[in-house]
Amino acid sequence: MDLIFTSILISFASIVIIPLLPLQFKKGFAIISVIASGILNGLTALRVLWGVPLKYSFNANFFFGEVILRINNLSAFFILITTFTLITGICYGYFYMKQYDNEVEKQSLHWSFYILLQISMLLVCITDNIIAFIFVWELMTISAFILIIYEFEKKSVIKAGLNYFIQSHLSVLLLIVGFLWLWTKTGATDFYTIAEIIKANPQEIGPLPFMILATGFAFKAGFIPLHTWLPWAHPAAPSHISGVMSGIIIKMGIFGIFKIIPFYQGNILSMGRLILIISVFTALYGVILAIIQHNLKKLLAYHSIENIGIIGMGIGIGMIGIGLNNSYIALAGFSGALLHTFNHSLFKSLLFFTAGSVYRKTHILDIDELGGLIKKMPWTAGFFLIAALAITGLPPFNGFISEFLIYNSLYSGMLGSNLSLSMIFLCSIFGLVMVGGLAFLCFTKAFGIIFLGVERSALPQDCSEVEKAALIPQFFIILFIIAIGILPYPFVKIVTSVAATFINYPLDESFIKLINTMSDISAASLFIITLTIVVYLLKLMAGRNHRERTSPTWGCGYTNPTPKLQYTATSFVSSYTRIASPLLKISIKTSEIKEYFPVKGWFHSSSYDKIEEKLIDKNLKRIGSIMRIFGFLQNGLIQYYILYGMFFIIAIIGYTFREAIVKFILSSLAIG
Amino acid sequence: MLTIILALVTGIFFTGIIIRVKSLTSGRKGPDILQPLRDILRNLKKGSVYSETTSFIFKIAPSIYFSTIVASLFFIPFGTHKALISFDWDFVFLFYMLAMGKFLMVIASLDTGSSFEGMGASREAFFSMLIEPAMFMIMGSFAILTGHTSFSDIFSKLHNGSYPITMTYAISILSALIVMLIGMVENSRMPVDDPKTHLELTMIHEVMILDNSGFDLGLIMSASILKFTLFGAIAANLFLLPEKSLLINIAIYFAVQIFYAAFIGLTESFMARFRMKKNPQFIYTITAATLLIFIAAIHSTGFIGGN
Repeated sequence: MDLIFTSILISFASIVIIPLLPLQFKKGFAIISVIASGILNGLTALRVLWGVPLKYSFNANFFFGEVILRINNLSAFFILITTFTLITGICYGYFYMKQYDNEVEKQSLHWSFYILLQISMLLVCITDNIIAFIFVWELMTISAFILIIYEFEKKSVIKAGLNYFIQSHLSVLLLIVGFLWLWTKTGATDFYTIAEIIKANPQEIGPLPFMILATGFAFKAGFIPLHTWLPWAHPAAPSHISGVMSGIIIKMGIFGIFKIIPFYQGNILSMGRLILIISVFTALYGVILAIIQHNLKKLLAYHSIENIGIIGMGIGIGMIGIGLNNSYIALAGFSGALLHTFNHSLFKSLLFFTAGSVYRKTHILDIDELGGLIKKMPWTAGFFLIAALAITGLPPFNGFISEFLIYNSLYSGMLGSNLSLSMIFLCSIFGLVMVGGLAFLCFTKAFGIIFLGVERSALPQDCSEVEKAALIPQFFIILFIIAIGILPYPFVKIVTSVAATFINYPLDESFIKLINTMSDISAASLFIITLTIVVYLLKLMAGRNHRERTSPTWGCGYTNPTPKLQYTATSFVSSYTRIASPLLKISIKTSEIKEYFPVKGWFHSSSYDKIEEKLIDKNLKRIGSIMRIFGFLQNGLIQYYILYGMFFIIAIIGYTFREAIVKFILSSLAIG
Repeated sequence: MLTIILALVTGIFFTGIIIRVKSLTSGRKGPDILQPLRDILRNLKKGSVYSETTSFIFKIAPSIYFSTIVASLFFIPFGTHKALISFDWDFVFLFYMLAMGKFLMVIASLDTGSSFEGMGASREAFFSMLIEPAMFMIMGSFAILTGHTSFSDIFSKLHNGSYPITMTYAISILSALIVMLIGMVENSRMPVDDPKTHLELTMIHEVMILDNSGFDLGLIMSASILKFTLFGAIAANLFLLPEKSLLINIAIYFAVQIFYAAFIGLTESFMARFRMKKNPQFIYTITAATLLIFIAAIHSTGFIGGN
């Protein structure tokens, strides 16, 4: 615990120091601070994963009561994830923010709040007092908000930021209601004690507090239909913040759900089933919308929703496994979810970083206008490709391992349960396969259109690869992506040790078999890699006798192709769009061609989230029309506002002394 | 090891048979059965011409595509003879690995910046997305039926007598048919796509590889033959009998593969290619038919009556 306190101390000191430093040192100092406290946190977390859990308690004040800081396997795992992404995020952000180097004050605020985000995320992971938890959660939300609205002069940014702010506070509201409910019912403020009390008498509390809390956390994580803030906030934020947000901040919602699983003692089977079904729909909906996006960062944001769905599937299956008393299914499900959380934080942050590099160099985020970037930015393209392969879940990269674990639990669930559950598992498998296929379509499109072919619009002259140093943090992410993909054994072992804390049964043989499967997978992966190398070498040998020739792309007889003839992102997925059209809302505007010799024509298509339209926009309009009745109250005259305040105070006083007043009136009536 | 040898032997004559059947039904004599092999060998010896637009993706993609397909043959057992690579749920790995190769091919064709190849890439990505669930359903059904989870275990336990042989054979026939259809969709053959038309607007796979030449083209051509034998081998495994001798099983294996090649040849002779718009429906139908296998599987394990 001493290390953790030192790290918090370092961070707080840097928050004070950073605004005082000149600009060129601000960023460097922030990086040092984040890395230093990150290393301290990471070391503590590793020690917990290898040894005994840490616990520290102190009596804060009358309001919080006894605050317990506890690092168990789960929190240690999440500390590691957040630490890694925060460090790579700030190292990348150092270069990304170069384009804003003239804004000194804004940068002070930005870097200070980045460090505050680090502290608050650490505290969210380790705080075990429900009241204090709400506070640190709120701290995290606010610091993320400040980071998102860096470019607050832009109307779209501030709008997206406020959207995030309001929806996160809906989540906070639900958390407050849920936690206060538990507090009043059990009288305890410690997560662990509450879980013990609920376990002792499960009937008394019921499933409702769990559902409220889970909904609150689901807001943060972005399960449908609570996801609508996410596709707006991610494109609005600077790229390193988008990476951090998608990589770890939304994962805190997942952490929260994991943390409150012990609070649920009812019919865990049906709850798991519910979570599984919602997650399948989340994953499908996310990827279905991702495909039709034109804005690269928005596309990635929808993919975050998809991946949250996959993680949620793991959690749902895990809970079903507990309900079935089947430790194998439970363990495979939970481990899959945890590993996917880690994996997603890796490849999604990398995707956002590369998208940021593309934006930095081209100032374009519209996929349809990019093209041919692989020649100008080969490293960025390579990183994007590996991350895209990983997120699609293809071997030998890390996304495959976690999806394999989830498939494993789904198929095992299908083998060893009753008919109705089997059907649900079957549909989930179907859903997961579809998600994989759709992600395939989406990322062949994203990579192919952005980086391959020739430029579709004029790019800036100085469009070139980013600095070598900016590639280093991305290298580290790649290292993990490949390491987990090829040597999954140690990583799966760690996540199973975390997942095992949720399961009360001894780990049976079948599970050891699953872990051993991981070594088989790495053997198979290595086999493919060697085979590919051999084939490629053969090709090089065969090519030795021939001079390599180049020529223009074969145009099927058409001799004067222009870049405009290439496939665009829209046309690449047009057959998909036709099939999925009932689920989508696409508006197309185009100029009609009337003359025989047409003048310049144009075509514009844009898409909108159907759930957002039906659920949020419509209801907002409704609420707005009701609220407008009270519009006269807000007349801009300060005297009136003071008057309202006075009325309110009188009403409060009146309510407090209502009995005395009633008595007084009655007695005066009696006298009368 | 046995499967690899058998698959390679099958690969030598597979496309030859298809072409022979097609020419016989149209009243021609047709080329030698080994002609496709010679074509490939000739391509392998040639040098390549690369488009100026392309990058390293275009150069490595065919090698990766080819090796994923060769590697996938190592997962397929021969009846009770275990495959070289075998672990629980290995079919998930196999299908994802095939998708990996396909991913590279799709982006490689976008790499050329050609509108024709873009079209092929778009269709290939779209149809492979649609066909993906079918194989997962079939293998899932067989996992339920046999209670085992890897290719080797599933195929060695399929006809071991825990269920009446007529029933497992009935399921096998249906599944084999669907596996063959999936193989045809995966390989972009009739009725989904006609590899022999030279109207670029109508093609899927062939139009994707317009710019590949020389060694790369040879790799792609041999990969697509091996892909046929892969699906043929999966189908053949459904019929192998554990109690019969090795020779009989090898005979069954070749019978299935030859039937498959002839089936493709006959389909291509007597059927017209579907309109592009109709293809998704056809693929959905295949996927829906896999549900029949699933229902048959849970029915025979007593799931329906039981719980």
